[in-house]
Amino acid sequence: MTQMKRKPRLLVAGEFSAGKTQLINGLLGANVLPSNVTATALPPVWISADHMGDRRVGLDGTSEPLRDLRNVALEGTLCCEMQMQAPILDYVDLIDTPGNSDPNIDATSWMRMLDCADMVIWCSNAVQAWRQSEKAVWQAMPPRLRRNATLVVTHADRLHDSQSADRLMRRVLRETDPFFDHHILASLLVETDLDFVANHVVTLAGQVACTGADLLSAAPQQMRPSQQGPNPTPRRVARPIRVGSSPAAEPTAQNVVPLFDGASAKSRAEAIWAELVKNAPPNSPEEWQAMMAEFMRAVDGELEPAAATPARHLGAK
Amino acid sequence: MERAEHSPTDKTAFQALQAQWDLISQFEAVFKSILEPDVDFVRDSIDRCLEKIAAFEPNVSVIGQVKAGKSTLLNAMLGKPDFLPVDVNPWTSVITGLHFNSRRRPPRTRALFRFFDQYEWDRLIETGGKLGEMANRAGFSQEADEVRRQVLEMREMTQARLGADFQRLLGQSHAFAEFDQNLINSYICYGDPDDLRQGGQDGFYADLTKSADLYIDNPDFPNNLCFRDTPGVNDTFMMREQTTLNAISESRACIVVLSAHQALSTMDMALLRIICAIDAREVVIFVNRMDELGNPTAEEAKLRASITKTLERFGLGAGIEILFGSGYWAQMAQSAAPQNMAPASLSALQHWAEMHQMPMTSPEDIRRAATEASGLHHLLRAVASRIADGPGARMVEELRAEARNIVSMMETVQTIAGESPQDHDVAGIKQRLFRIKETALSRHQQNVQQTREDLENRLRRAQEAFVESALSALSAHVAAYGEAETWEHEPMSLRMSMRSAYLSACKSLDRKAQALLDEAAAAVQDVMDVDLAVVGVDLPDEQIFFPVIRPPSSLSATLSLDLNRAWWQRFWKFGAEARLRKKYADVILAETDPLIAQLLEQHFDPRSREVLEVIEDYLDDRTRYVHAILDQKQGPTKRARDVA
Ligand SMILES: Nc1nc2c(ncn2[C@@H]2O[C@H](COP(=O)(O)OP(=O)(O)OP(=O)(O)O)[C@@H](O)[C@H]2O)c(=O)[nH]1
Ligand SMILES: Nc1nc2c(ncn2[C@@H]2O[C@H](COP(=O)(O)OP(=O)(O)OP(=O)(O)O)[C@@H](O)[C@H]2O)c(=O)[nH]1
Ligand SMILES: [Mg+2]
Ligand SMILES: [Mg+2]
Repeated sequence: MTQMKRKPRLLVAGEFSAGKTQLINGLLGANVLPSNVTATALPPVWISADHMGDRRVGLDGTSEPLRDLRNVALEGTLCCEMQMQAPILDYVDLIDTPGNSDPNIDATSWMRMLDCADMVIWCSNAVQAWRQSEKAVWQAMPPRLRRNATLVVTHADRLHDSQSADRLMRRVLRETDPFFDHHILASLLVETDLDFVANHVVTLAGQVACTGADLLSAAPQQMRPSQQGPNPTPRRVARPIRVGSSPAAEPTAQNVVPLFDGASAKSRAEAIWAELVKNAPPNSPEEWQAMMAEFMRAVDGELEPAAATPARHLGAK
Repeated sequence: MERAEHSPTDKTAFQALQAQWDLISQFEAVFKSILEPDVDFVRDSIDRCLEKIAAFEPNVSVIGQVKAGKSTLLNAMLGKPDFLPVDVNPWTSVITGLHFNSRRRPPRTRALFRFFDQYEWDRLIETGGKLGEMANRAGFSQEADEVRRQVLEMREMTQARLGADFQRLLGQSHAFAEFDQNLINSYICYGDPDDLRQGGQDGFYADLTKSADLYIDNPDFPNNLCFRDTPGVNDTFMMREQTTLNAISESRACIVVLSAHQALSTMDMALLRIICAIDAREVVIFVNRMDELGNPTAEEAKLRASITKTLERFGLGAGIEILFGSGYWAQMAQSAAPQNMAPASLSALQHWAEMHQMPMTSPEDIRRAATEASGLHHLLRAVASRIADGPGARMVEELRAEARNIVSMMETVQTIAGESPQDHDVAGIKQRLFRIKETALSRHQQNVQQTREDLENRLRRAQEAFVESALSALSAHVAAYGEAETWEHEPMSLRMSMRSAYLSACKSLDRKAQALLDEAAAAVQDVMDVDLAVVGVDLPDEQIFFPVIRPPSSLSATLSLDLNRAWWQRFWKFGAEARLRKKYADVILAETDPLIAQLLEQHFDPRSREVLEVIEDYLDDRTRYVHAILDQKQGPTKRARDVA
């Protein structure tokens, strides 16, 4: 069976207190990381099923075992790696980042992590959504990450009526269209909304994996996880991933205004993937793996002549 | 919809201010009463005081990021939830003055909207162009295009919407004897582009409107107080930010509204640093939207600690009062059914009430708790006392000094009138007084020139030092991290040193003016002692008040661009270090040269004219005084002959 060398990595970024950690905890289905009203001064945290235990990685490249996340000094730390099991981690690695625009935290702290990310979710609070300080970040975002980028407008529950939500999202869409392929309005306190985002992430993971050629080559050497651990069998922790047809995954009109459904595929490869997912959404990691294999066959056949074929990298063992 | 309007502000909030206002009115009455008899020689001084009183309208600007809740807060203060337009998208588009019980209200006018004239409109477009030029110089064509696009799009949309009216409206103003919500909304909010295309009226004139003034008579507010609503900063539409930043330098007090869920971001810090250049005592921070936190009382303590810590870290904070509350709670407290507030806000209020041991059973209980928790009353009281202690106290001091001068001059002249007449070399004395004034004015001229040169040199040195420090920081960075790491250099340090150079130049000019006035006064005294031989009569020697030195607003021109770190961050891409240095030095010079020119021409030159005015007024007062004494001593017959 064709197997990917590694999983796509999703970086969750945004202004401080936008809901990044809330979203990651939600995707994991457990309160793994601390979330706060005031800025949480944590270094970037890279959560993966494939890490070898928990470590703190310094800017100088050294690493040491991680004891307590809360006591890690931001300064001199590149990131903290945490190894854990959760259904979503069968599809992607998650990277939580310290907030942008926090006067006490240097933006380079999170921006460094862009190098090792394959896709980005940007969180923006609905009550003050999409300001110049956010736009400035995206104007400088590497084009590679603008593709497949998702804007999650959080705190949807704070909007008093659907008319406000509609007005807001029309403006946000108007202004952010050049930067994001996907726009989601969600309340991170609502289970169904979290399900919706989780589904979206899994679908994206597939799309990104299928253009994995640049995915792997783009990651600088130092940023790759030093050793890939053996894939342990996933243990269900909390949030089951329901892809596609599950009724629970349908956003409620009131809470979620999915302005983009992920269907406008960018390339032939993405179109193929979308087609596959549409016909038979995978319901487990095993099915997902199988589908990836099927996808690779389809892509191998169809896209052979294309320049750097994704298949080569993805297929290499 | 029926809405019970409960008066939001109990009068005690403005007590401190009201007492001072009463004092100022008394001065006014006294000055007017002196005007009656024939005391020509003090008429000009008195007129000047009366003008000062008439023009006294302290400004409180409400500023903050987009959607912090500024307009909502002002509405709550007014007790009218729909007064200023409010929306979920960036909305307030123009500085809107709410003038309370104003004596300067134009006749039959309650709302006055001024449009840009052709020149200002061109300049606004050009300011956009300037942002664009800056971006271009720095090598960021993408940003330059973006700014140009914004400006052009705005112009096209406005011209298309207004058609032939566009040209006609430039330079005009619209005044209304009455106004309602719809009327205001067509001038002072952006409007939704989709609505506008479909004939919506909100924001119809917004792009063309330069300023809005609304006149409100309300006995709950003191006279002659102005609150100003401003467009939020950190909006993606950057054009208006300059207007808001200018408003800061004209305001005597600022309420900086933060949003509880993101209290004190880098944007807020940049704003505060600019404001604190004015006077920290006149800034109040209001952390709004507390109703959006789960447990507001507990979070308040955390927020306060974190804000205080950050302010201290950046060397701000001493004297800045931090208050907490919610415009939404205030608004609901004024509504007919406060119990109908959004469930999350109600539950937060329940938490708050529990901590403060207030009941929450009946709607009236809820109203009381919401009123208290809104923080509105504390906010108004804090603002009122800051105005009273700041501009109010200074006004009283100035008026008191002027009154003493006038009274003492009048007394002297009257005493002399009772003495026996004497003959004097009138023409000679007048000539001497004239020469004293001439000398003082030409010395001021020299002072101005000298100070200006010193200032320019100091600004150049600051610029050079900044370029040097930036370049060595850059080299150090490249050495440590290589070029593949982002890097930025904080332009605030340059700004601060330029600001302090400017302020110290102004202070030095004031000191020199004070010195030359002391000398001139001594010379006038000499004329009185020797030529007039009025022994024992002194010139009034009350303190001379120079106008308050305002910090230069042009230094704060580019809040967004400063924070647009992307610009500075991308310098590392430029390749070899030597080229990098050259390029970076060029950019800094190009961006800071205009700052120096502006400081000199738009700030220092007007300031020196203000000081000149004080000198002239002072000397004219003394000259008239000596003339009056002279007149009295000449006796009635001589006077009659002079008149003939
Ligand atoms: N009502 C509501 N609260 C939310 C939502 N998302 C996050 N929050 C709350 O907002 C606060 C900030 O959320 P975090 O997830 O810590 O934000 P963050 O982006 O990780 O912040 P930093 O780590 O400080 O940069 C927390 O108190 C969350 O509980 C949402 O959708 N609705
Ligand atoms: N929950 C809550 N909502 C608020 C509060 N204050 C304002 N809002 C809401 O926030 C939105 C924005 O309020 P505005 O008053 O327009 O904000 P602003 O700061 O004037 O915004 P700009 O004029 O665009 O800079 C509106 O939908 C208000 O109803 C508050 O204290 N609590
Ligand atoms: Mg966090
Ligand atoms: Mg507003």
